[in-house]
Amino acid sequence: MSSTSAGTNKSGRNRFPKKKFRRKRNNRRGGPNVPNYRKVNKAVAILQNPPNYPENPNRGKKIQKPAGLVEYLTQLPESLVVALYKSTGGQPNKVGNFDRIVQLTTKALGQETRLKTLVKDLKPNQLNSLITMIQCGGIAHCNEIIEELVISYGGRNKDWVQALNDLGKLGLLARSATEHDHFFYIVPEPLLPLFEHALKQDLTLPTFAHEGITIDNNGTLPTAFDFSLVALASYLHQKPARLTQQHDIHRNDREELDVFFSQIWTSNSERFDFLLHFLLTHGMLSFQNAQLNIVPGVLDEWLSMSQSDQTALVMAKLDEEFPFTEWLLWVIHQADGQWLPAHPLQSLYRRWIQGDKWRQRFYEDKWAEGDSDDLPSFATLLRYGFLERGVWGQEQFYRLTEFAISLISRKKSDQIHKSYLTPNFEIVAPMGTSAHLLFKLGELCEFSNCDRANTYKLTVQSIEKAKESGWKRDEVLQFFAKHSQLGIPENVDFTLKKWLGSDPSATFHNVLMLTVHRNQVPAFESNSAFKPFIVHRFLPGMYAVHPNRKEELEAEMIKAGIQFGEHTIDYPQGQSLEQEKDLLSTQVTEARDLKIALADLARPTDVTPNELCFISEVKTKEETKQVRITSNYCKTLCEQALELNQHIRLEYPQKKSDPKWMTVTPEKISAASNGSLLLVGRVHESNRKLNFALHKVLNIELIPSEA
Amino acid sequence: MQINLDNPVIVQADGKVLVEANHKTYEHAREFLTQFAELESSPDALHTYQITRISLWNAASSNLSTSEIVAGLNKISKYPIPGEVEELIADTIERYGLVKLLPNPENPSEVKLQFETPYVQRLFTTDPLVQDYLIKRGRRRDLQFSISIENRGIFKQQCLLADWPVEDLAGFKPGTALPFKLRDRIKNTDVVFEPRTYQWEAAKRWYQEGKSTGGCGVVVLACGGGKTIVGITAMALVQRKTLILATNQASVNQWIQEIISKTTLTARDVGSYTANSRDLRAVTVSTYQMVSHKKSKDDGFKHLDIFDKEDWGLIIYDEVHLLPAPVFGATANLQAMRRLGLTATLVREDGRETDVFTLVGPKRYELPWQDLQKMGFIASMECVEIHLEMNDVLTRKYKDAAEKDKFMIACSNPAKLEAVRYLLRKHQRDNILIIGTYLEQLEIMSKELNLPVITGKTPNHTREQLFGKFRTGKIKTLIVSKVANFSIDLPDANVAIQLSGTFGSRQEEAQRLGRILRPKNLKGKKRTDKNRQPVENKAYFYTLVTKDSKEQTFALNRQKFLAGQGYRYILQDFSTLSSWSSSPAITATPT
Repeated sequence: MSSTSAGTNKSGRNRFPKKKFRRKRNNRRGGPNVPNYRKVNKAVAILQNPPNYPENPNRGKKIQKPAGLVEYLTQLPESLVVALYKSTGGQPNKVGNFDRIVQLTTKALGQETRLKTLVKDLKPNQLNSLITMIQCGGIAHCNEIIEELVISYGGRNKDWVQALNDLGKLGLLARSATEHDHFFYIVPEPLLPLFEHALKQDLTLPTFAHEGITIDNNGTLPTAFDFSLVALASYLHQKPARLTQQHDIHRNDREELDVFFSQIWTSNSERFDFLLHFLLTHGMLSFQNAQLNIVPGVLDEWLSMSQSDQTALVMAKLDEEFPFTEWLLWVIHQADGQWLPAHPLQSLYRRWIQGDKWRQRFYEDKWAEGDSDDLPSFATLLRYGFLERGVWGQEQFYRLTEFAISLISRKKSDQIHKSYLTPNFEIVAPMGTSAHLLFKLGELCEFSNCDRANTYKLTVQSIEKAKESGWKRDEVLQFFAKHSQLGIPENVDFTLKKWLGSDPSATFHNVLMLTVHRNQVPAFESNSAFKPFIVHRFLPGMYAVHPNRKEELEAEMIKAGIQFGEHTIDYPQGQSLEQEKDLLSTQVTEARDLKIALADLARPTDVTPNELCFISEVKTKEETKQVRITSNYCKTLCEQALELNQHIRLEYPQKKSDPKWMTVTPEKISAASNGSLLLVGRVHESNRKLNFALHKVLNIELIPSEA
Repeated sequence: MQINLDNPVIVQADGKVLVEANHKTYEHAREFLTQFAELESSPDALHTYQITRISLWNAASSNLSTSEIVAGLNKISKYPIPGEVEELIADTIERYGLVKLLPNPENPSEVKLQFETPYVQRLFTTDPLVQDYLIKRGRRRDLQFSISIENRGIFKQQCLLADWPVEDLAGFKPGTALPFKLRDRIKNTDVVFEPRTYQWEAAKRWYQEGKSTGGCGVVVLACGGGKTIVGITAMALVQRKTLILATNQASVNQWIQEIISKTTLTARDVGSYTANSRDLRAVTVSTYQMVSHKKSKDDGFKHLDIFDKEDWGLIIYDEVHLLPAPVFGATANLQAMRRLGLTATLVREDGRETDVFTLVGPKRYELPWQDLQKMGFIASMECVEIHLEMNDVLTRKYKDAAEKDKFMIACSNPAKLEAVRYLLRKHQRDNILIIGTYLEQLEIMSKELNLPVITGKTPNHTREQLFGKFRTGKIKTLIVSKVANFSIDLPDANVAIQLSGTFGSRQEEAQRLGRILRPKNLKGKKRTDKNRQPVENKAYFYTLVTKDSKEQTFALNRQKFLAGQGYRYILQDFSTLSSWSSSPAITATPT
């Protein structure tokens, strides 16, 4: 099919047909900017109900019968389509031309019974090979997949080779180009969701339940992640841990910590280390005066984040040690609290990792066999308290702990927002209390016990400390009135008011202050446009203005002809907190980006149909090489253009006409609400600023700046 | 992990059990928990129980098993119960009764020991804490162990120290028979008398139909709950010669009066053995002081020997939590008799709860004050703490004083006189007790307010006269020292003004409060005063505290205790109170 004829097709907006426009043979696989294909949504290929991310509709979207299947099949080698048609019950001999075969195959694949019959008729080895291929994400190295199959199911190499060949002959599996006798097995992309549907039963991991399962969890209390984190932060806030010269926590302090948190973790627990490290790397904890001190402002920022941002940060941290953590947790979570046998779970995880490596090597043109790295062990997640292990006889099983469940599926709205303030000045906050409330309690009271219900004591000292850290009389009273099950008991109210004393005669304000020259004061004050921005008028010419609306105010001032200084004058105090907050917000953005990348890459191997060969065909790379214009490739190119101040030329589908080539000056890359990447740029031809969905871009190239 | 947030209970690893008091299944949870845990605090929304070894032994003695407790707890808990608590329960409950004391018919002067297994026998008999008391008979396989009957009490104490709570099934001496009945009507009146349902229940649970598992133990009832009637009902069940040990002379007199008025026993059958009279009768009421009296340090307990010679069938320990330590030792020899301990709280400030358990017996019955209040058997209570300022002179004196004197100086703040005057005006129609610790302060009050005072120095007959006048309403206000802390039944008192206390003593606070807890009107039967005005079933407990002083610090402890018990507790400044007469706490009282 030529690019011209493909270009006339209006359905070029969907995922599959767009590839037929990618005719330009500029090999980017060996290029320097290999996109990060580290993660592909294998979970989609594994589970009947993929992860359902509340704030990202792209994730977990169930793939229906792929649209554009006709165009895709048209581009596949004829022998492959014929084989597929035959295996779905067709009789190619009786059909006159290839286009008709394609139509009939598409129709057959759309019929559930045909595919089910096809899968049902597969021999055990063929079925296991197909399942393994799907779990690997639809791509596998020719020799290494055999090793994987032998490890998983036993048997001889040649039987598995035969099984894979048989799948190829049935048109269910293609092969890539061959180089030095190495090639990759590839499941044609549109077939993957269909197989998932047909093999639903086989792909679902089995669960196990038995009363005799013994749990290997050290008897510690499985608390929610934020409960543990805030409990630790509250403790350190009240008793900053001293550090030795080697920057370890002082032995006595560590022992005290372990005793205090004996219900949550055992002594020398790695869960503690993980939480501590998490606090440190995100600026919530700082080293000062040879002590570990909590930075309450940053912690407050963390607590006010959305659940998905918090989860993204934790997962990004975990990913450093254990790739695909989030997916693994989701898979286990879908067992709904039941045990998952270790063996199939580990196999699945191994296949994810291997599939990922094979895909990367495929993109990087590394056809030869790679070194087999050791797989990350589940022990990491066990030690950190995300998983718990059950043992029954010789068998091992896994399930999620409350620590992990709270991160991936609990909603903030499920949390308890009230504690018990008793007349004997004790406050009881049971497990499930919101982390925000727990931390505030830690600021106002002495944290006396960490258990199924945390207990706090309200004392004159704790109130003094809270006052020092900025709590005001009314804030404290309002806080307790709002967060106590039955309000403030009369005796506590009386005593608390005494402890809090009256309002201070001097108060510090943290404001964005605007000063106006005295000549301009009448003009400034008489202009009603400024009024919405003024929060407080201290004096004529000295105002507190809304900190989040500075830019709007500046615009109004420009309109009114009032000149203002270019820079905001910072006073020395408070800057480090802002820096820490900035750091945290940068980390959140990065973690969000990682999620977007996950969503964007959540699809099978990005390979154009023309690159595939029938199983019995052997082609060289040169014969099959195609350009793959993926959104990540586009992103890389756009980033490069932004960095080097270059323009780009891109071919983009039009609503009412053929795709058009345009020259664009990129301005920024952003994310759409559905998680897909957008290029914002100015089009030279029309001099308009437009958004381009990167996954729709048909062709793209950099234009050197001189041009 | 099984989490059921709809349940009302949270079990903490330190054995604390938190119960949501407003939960729909609270009653069920409370009934279950009282069997093996002690109620520690009961403020409005959240009640706290504590599982202790003693509470578990009490449960074990009522045949409650580990599995029943653990399963029951899991059923009502939000979260699985901590491993530590499960271990504590299993370890404690299962140890109880591994060693039993049984009667030895062949040799009545000894008590036989029975061990659950040979392994237990081997472990127990080699324990140095108990070895000295063991009498060994037989050889190797037929080895029998017993102890002398005189050592029964001390042996049980030692066993508990060695962590072997013994189940005492050795039975009791029957004692001399004493046939009598409870009266239908109180003697010389038309007032119907019948023990309340819970009083019968308490006595029956203690007696256990005369089985060897019953006949000893403690009944816990809030002040004003009618512990004396429980004692008399127990006497009626046993029908044997009885020795009653009380805290002071006034209490002795009250016991005698109650027994004579509510049973068919006459003054001839009931006598007191105190410093004033030495009448050993079929029912003898004495004081702890008499039992533990020694002429000199090296002498024996003089009066105890006299008691020992009598053939008692029952001993009743009133306010058993106050049993002085020497009496424990002394009464350890009275193990062969049925024993009943009566108390409002098992908590002892000296931590000798275990002695009560071993020498008197396990807790057999408990009814918290909230339940009694709901039933209308005790008055509803409002505690008001009034803060007073020190004048300049006193402030200077306070600052210059030695640390040890500061508390006393603050307690004796002369401004308290003005506050008392104010409260007396507010409660003109009420029966008021003014309670204090410092005699000088009480004397000043008495002089300034022209009110009678009872202190340790007041002769018994004068005390009786004054109490009598107070009961009959001839005196509306009485100033009392610590002597009136316990066992004084002044049912019409409905206002207490506490001038000073013994530092932060929770026990003293509870006992003083108990003086005014008696019901002011009984259920379905409105009480009226002599002017035929209805008497409100409500009592007020005022504590006068000097601001910014050591007294305030101690008062905070007592405040926490009373508020923790669930009493309404209000704090007010006297300066605002005296100038602002419409204070809600004050206007609530009938004037």
